[in-house]
Amino acid sequence: MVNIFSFFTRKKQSKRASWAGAPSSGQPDLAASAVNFENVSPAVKLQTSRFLSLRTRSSARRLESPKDNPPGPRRSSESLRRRARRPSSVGPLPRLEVSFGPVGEVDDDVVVIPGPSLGLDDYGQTPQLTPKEIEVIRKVKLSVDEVRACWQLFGKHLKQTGESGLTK
Amino acid sequence: MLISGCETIDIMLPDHRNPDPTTVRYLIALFLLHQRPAMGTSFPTINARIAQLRPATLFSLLLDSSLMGDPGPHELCEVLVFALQHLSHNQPSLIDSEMYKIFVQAEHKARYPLDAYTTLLLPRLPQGVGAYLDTIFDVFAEIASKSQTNVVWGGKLCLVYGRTIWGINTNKRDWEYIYREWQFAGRRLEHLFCAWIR
Repeated sequence: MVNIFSFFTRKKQSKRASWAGAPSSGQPDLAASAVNFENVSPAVKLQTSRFLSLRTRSSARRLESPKDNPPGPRRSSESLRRRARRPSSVGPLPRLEVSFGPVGEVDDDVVVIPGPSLGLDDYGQTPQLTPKEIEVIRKVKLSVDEVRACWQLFGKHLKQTGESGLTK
Repeated sequence: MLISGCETIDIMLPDHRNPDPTTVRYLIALFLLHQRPAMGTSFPTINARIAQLRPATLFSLLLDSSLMGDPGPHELCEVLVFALQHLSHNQPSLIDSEMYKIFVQAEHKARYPLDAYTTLLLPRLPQGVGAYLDTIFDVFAEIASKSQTNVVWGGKLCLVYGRTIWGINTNKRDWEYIYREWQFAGRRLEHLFCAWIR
């Protein structure tokens, strides 16, 4: 029967060996002397994994305790490395297209799901006149009374936004 | 502090900052529809936005709401200049040159009274022209009263727009003739403006 604790000892030793680089001639090759875990029976494997999981849980509980979890950055580099290796489970967020603006404006990391238009595309916007309508404006002739009315109306608004920049 | 309206630098001058042409055209179209509701069929873009009930009233409401939406002073000035440039009448000029000379002589004879504008000029003007000049001078006076901020004084406005306000109809393409006409009209309008202020 394989000693379960030897598994953990071997694992730590192998990490230390890889950290230090190639083992010197004086030191025994710890990786080579490690027991091949694949040859271990399934029951032992299960027991080991349970033990691992309990250990993980208990360490997590210890971390949660206010006595054992002092404020500040986490000390465990292993947990940080594990977290960095974990792939992001959140992909690009879908965005519902409500047609308030042009459909073509899409960010690179946003997936646009075309939705029904709310019919508010041009709400609040100054309408663009057609070339025909612009031509009508260009050719219009005004009488003296109409010019006077125009200056009276628009001149009044020009004067009202005068003193402090605020409409009176 | 936001400074706008009549205090805007170089207000009413031709080389002011870019007004928004879409807003200017929209305001002009609304004004035309307000004055001539029968033109509604000429502006289907605007017609499509309003109900068909009492169009004359609705155009008036649309115009008021657009103006309350606070268009910029340059847009408002563009509309004012547009109105002047599209003035149409059948005479060689709106204010007759001979009539003006008679006014000058009468004013000089009466030793430049304070009410020269109302007693010596207005009775000699064609119908509607007096109110037309009165409205224009009112806006000019408001702009000129802020000349320390906007660097635009009454004389400058009269010189720039004098020929247009005078309503000179001419087909002559001679540059010297047009320039002389422009100078005379500007100086004469400035004289009338000073008489109006007095």
